[in-house]
Amino acid sequence: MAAWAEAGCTAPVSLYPLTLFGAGTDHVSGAPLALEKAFRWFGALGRPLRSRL
Amino acid sequence: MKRIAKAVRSNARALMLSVLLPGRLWAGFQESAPAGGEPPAAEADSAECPAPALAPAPGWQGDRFTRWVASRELLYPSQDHRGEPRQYSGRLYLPTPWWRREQRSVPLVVYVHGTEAELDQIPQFNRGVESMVGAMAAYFHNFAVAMPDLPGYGKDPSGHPHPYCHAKSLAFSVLDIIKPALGLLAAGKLKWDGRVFLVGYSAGGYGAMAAVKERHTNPRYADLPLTGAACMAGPFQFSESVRAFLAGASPYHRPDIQLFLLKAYDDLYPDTGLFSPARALNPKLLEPRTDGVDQGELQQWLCGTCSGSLICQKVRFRLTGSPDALTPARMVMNPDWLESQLLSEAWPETEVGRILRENDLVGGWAPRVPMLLATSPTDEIVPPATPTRSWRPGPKPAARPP
Repeated sequence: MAAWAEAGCTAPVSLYPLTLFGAGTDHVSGAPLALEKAFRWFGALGRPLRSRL
Repeated sequence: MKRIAKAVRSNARALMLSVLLPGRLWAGFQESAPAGGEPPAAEADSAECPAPALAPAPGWQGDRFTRWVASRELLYPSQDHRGEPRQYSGRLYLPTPWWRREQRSVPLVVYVHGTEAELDQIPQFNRGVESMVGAMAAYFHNFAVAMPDLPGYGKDPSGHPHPYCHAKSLAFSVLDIIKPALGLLAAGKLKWDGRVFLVGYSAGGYGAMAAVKERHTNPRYADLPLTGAACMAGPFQFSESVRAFLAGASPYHRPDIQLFLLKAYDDLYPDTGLFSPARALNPKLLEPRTDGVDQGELQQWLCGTCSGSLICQKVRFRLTGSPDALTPARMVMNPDWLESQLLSEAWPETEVGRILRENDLVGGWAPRVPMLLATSPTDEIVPPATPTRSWRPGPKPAARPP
């Protein structure tokens, strides 16, 4: 985010275009894929390393 | 052992039935499932609010699944955008599969639902597609999922309509659910693993990002735990997004969103009168009719019993004579209002422009936790340029919407 970068943002920010799997490319059909992606992302984020091994 | 065996049988049977049996049988099997409460019948039966003509899709059993997942009702204190105390409601979905019960340590995910026209399709009543998604996240991903009903829904006694895409109102209601949800977790058998996430899609994505912004800019929330956020497909550059979807000349699929926004902002900024239907909307939409697809009048359409699809059909029929003809977004609006506010040379310094810019989520702050932004490439409701531009520098917005 340009505005965030100017404000000194150092947090990792990911932009995830929903183009994978060839499905879910409009607002409604993209929602399940986006939410599933988010839940999987949460699953790994911030967990202690030993619990991921 | 007996308890484990019973749980195994119960879950395996339910899973098999959900795959193998037709919807009617599955519905009958789940009749004894714990219910999350029923919406007030008075609203659905109100003579002033005609019941929606659209029936649920045949075979839709999402609500059954939602009720099947273990959950607890949440009532929690919060505040509105003026700082007045409010009480909101929500639901906490818990991970329940027997094969994960030994893993007692779970993260808390706060899931903000998106646009919802019907007042009963919310987590409070265990209804709606997004409640089902929240329940699925609890069941299959092993999260504790807190879903706020959001202001204007559920057990909010204020009588105000939902503050649709209003940053402060949404942020308070989302952040204030975190501590009560953690308290409920602590009172149960599950242990919190120290992580808190926010997630939302569309208007929910906007609400999630508004909460992240408030968490990082309001000292009141400085000690609130937050590990990451997924803010997806939302109108983060709010003023430009609203200008595009209120004043756009190309066919727009969701005129109901325009009406929700004006209703909310008319309630949030009543002294200005800038968003009153009489001033901002196409006068055709304000005429009461006694028959036809568009029977009734605008306030009835928006009273919370009509689905978004039905409202869209009514708007299209009123404007074009066909419930299926897509209309340009600007056709819904009063041309004089558009010219004086959104299409004015003075934009974004018009009165409406200033109010909308107060609700921009881009600029003046930066997240301090990892964030996931997602966008659908052919999104016609929240164009991909909106979330994308908020992340990377994009072309400057056109002087006038195309």
